[in-house]
Amino acid sequence: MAIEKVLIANNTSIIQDEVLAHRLGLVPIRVDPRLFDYLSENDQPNEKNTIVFKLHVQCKRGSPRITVKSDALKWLPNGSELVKETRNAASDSSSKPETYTYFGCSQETIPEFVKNPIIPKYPDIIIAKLGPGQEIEPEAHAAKGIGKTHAKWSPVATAWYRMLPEVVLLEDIEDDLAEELKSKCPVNVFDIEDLGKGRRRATVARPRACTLCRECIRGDDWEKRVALHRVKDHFIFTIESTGALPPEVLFTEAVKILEDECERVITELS
Amino acid sequence: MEHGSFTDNSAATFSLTDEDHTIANAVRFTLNQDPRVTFYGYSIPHPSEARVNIRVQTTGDPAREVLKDACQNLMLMCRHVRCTFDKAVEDLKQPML
Repeated sequence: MAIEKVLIANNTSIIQDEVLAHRLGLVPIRVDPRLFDYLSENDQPNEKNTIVFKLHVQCKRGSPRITVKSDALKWLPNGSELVKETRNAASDSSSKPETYTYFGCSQETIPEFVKNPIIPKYPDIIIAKLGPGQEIEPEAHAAKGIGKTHAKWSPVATAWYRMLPEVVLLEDIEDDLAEELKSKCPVNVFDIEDLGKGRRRATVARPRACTLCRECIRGDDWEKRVALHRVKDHFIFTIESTGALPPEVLFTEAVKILEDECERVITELS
Repeated sequence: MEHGSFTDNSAATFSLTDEDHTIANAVRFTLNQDPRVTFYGYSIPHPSEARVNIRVQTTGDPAREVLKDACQNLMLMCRHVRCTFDKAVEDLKQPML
């Protein structure tokens, strides 16, 4: 979920409308996107596919400059408050004015949001800076999307994988050579074990920490004593989340997507 | 979409729309382990168009069946990975006393 439409009621700051909207779109929102539906062009924005935020900051004349941070975004569980202009002069003045969203019920009544209001994940993201006399009043509508369309929807900050390094000692490395090997490694992969009678031997204690910098095979003859490989079927994935979902959920969802694609191919082939 | 010959169905080219490396590379791995497959390759004709061309040649079995089997295997692998991962995460969160 990320902010997709920004309705700007007032913007007298030096940040241009589109720049402000762009910045609002990149703010990560702390909500599970699986609870919402996708919003397509023909759908009406309702409580199942839209989240509405309001931001109203004004810097009064004579007061110092204000920095607008993301904690100023207020969640509106009842939908949009901006009234649509209807040209219909015969419309009832007693009926509810039409706004830009059509919420059937308040989002606060949905069980997941009763105790956890929807807020941006990080409260200290700078959105704009206002000088005296400037005011911004945007209303932001967030919708569901995927990272392929725009990176703001990606729930992952960075993700990478590496294969487990395998450090093999080809011959027994003892005493002084062992000490030398241990001091060479910048991440302390090697350890010294005592064999008794004052002899020490080097062992590989933490192969996972190895960064494959190859310091241990620099110098004469070390290539014959230490071999560095990768284990072909052991992967170490590192996933950083932007905050909407925890990383373990992201991994499971990613695997589910691969499964769904497989199923699609199978049904197409049959 | 399958392009093959009517007489010999052990070799065919499949053209899948709305797919990319996600599925094609994963299936490539599973198919290359399959002993019935003599050749498997995929290409993306143009990166702006979401289309993958997959070429499968087998030792006699119909290429379509072999591809389907590979997709089933991949699905089983995914499920297994998910189960093992979920169990491991639970074990980490509540260490067994």
